[in-house]
Amino acid sequence: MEEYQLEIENRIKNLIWTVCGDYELEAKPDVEGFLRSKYIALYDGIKQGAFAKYFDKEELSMYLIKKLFIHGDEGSLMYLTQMCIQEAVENRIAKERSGVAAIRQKACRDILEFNFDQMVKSPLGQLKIAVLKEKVEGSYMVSKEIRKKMDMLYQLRDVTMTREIVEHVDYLYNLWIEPDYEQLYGTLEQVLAVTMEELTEYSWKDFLSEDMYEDALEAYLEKVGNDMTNSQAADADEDEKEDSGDSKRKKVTVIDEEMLKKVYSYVELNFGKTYLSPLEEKRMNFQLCKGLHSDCGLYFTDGILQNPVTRNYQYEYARKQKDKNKYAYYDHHRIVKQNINILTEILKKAIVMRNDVSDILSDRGSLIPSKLWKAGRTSDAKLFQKEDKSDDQDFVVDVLIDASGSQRPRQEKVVLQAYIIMQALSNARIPHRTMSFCTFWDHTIMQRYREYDDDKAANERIFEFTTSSNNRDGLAIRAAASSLMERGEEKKILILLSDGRPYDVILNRPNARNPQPYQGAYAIKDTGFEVRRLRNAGVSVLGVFAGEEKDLEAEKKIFGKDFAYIRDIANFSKIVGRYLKKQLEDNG
Amino acid sequence: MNELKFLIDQDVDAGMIEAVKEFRNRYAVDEEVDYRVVKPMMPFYGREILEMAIAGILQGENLLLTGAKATGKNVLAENLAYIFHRPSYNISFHVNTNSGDLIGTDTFVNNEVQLRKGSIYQCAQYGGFGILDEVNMAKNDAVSVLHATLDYRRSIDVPGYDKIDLHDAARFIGTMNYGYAGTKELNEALVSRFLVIDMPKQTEDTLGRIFEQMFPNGKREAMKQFIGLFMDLQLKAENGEISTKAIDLRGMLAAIKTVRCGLSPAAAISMGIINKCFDGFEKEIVNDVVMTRIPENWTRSDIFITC
Repeated sequence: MEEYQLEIENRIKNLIWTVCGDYELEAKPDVEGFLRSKYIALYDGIKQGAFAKYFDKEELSMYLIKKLFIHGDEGSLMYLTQMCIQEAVENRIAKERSGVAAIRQKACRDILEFNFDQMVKSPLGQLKIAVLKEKVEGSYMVSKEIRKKMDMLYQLRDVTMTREIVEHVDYLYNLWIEPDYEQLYGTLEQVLAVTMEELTEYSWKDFLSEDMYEDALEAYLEKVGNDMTNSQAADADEDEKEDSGDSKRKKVTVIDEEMLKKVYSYVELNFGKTYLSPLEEKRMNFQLCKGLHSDCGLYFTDGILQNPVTRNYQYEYARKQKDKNKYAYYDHHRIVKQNINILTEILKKAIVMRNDVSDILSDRGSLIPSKLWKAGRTSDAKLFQKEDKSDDQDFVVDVLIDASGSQRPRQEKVVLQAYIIMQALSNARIPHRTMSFCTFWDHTIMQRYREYDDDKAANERIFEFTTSSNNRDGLAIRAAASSLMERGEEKKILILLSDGRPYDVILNRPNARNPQPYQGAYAIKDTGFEVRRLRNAGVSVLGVFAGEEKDLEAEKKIFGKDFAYIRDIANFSKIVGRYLKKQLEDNG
Repeated sequence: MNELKFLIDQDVDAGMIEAVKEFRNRYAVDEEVDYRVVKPMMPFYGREILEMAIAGILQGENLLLTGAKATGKNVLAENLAYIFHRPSYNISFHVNTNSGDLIGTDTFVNNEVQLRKGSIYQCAQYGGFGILDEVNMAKNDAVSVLHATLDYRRSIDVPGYDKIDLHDAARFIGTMNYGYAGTKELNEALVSRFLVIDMPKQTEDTLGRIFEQMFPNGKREAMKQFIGLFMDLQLKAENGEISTKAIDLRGMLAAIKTVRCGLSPAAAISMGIINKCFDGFEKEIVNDVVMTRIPENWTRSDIFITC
């Protein structure tokens, strides 16, 4: 349900952006409204966009705030403003976009249907009914008094300046709602004369929920800005002021947003900037963080050394670890080299066997002399040989490494294993990608070391490998698989280097997202499920187990038969090679 | 000359138009390939781009047209061939395009082995304009052929036969689009053999001309909505909210054509634009945009003056 709501939110936002043409515009779509009536919400979106396009949203909300500051009645003022805005933008936008009129028709009909009971109770509501009816039916018989009011509203159709709207709203408010307002509190000029200082000092407590803090004014300004184009919220308010007030105010959840941003920037500080655009990131999260992993986020990065925010402690630590990894490589230089050579050899042999390019007889290509007797004797003109490279020879490999804290003791070893695989694959010209994963707060961090088609030189970056935090294997596998599945190669292989201990348990943090704990049999089951799902989709998954013997059982549960237990690094390439070779040959 | 009228209409430099005329007179088209001189579906609009392209070709250079989807790369290429009155050869690159397809391979005709000429060979021989479609999809084997063909040597060595020199009027126009799946960066050596024109995206003005040309009896108001729709989607894709699947000028023109024979505009657009998005969610966003532009109850008579 939550995902669905996010999608709707994005959908309405897009509509608002389409209409106003400004993709920077901050918009708050009314998702709950959408669930009640699609057309009302969509039409509200259109109005919101149109208003931002033709008028100055800030100016109007500023006026509203000031009016409220000087004892204006929030409910009626918003209601009135909303009606005025509707008149001011509606014809203009309908002229620009031919489809708008039809949507308006449906929206008005829905509003009349859903909100009639509430509207009929107040004089303003009755006016609104009349206006809507007239929009739906073309003309509508009303009493003289209401007709007069309607005509006054319709004057707004010709306005072009925000200031004119402000004047209209103020005039109508003073005329219809509080006839003695001007005498009691002052004219429009006096309202507008309220300074920012006065507004900032005011607590706005009555208008906001308790959890709001310093920049309350700003938050309220935003809320007013959003509410003024929202036809449903205003209706609901009018009637059920007490309780709807509450629920509506909860919508302003500034603190949550702030916290999320803080977590995000903390992740950035720790792991470097992401290489995805915000939209791609959003999309990834939509698609992958579901079910068990809802409330989690994915964060794709090239690592802190590649893309640091600042040179902080983490940066220095990563640098030191890189040196340590390098030293480990220098220490085991010979063994590693040898392993690379063995694995390369195994892969190359397997590929040569497969790469027997099949030749087919053709009517063009290179001539086969032994077939020449056919010339002139038969109509079969297939005297030539043509190479037929079939596409299904292609392989792609994804190497996924567990970078959680539990791997820390054998960090260097893991690096070397990954390095051997990467170098050998590069030597055999098999496109492969290497990523590591760990879970930090609610974000699962996918650190990329090389892309599929990168040059061999990129393999060096694996030395930037560091470990920290938890691991949510299931989600990481899912994330890696999503891009692996998009590759064109027929045969896909995922190699997972892990210690067989999916573990992500975090303490309950106030104001942050709290994914479900992920550990023990439950987590193993989920990881195993992801592995099997991939195998069903035709991806060969190989687990390379680098953990301790006591976790072997879990590893077996996750990977079934296809996993390799590496006791001694010297044998590493033989074991992995045997498996890869099998995969290469199987598909011949 | 009729072919050049749209250049004059667009205020293309008069000196250049003269030079084009001279080029046309200098190089006659071989009768055998006369059928390859084709009038493009629509003229290309955009004076600056035309001038750049014409100047490049007059100086004997090859062109590489880069740009996003629906910027008119192929339309420009076809137009150039037509302006210069040369036969055009469309060569699409894909993973299996090899040198044999481009230069030629042996084949057997009338009881003897002969060279089956490839498209580049023919283009070189008759002085055609070779349109190298999606040249960045070319594999190394094919690229090596292009290298010699495109640079100052202007010659092709056909293994087992002879070296042939390019006809003086032969030119190659590559098109490429970054961002499609499977496309890769062009290698530098190849790029250096081209003059590169970065195609600008469509503007309301250019679209207006295209629509006017394609649908002379279209109602202005309706055409404005279609153009607005395209611009909306283009802007949306630029902001990364949707993919480029829905930015499909060909699809939109085709959809409007189907309206001509009586289909409702809303249905036509859903065929030509909306259904091109396979992601359900993206489809809804596109549908919303369409909804604000094209009312469901529009009919043919809302779009065309007479049918």
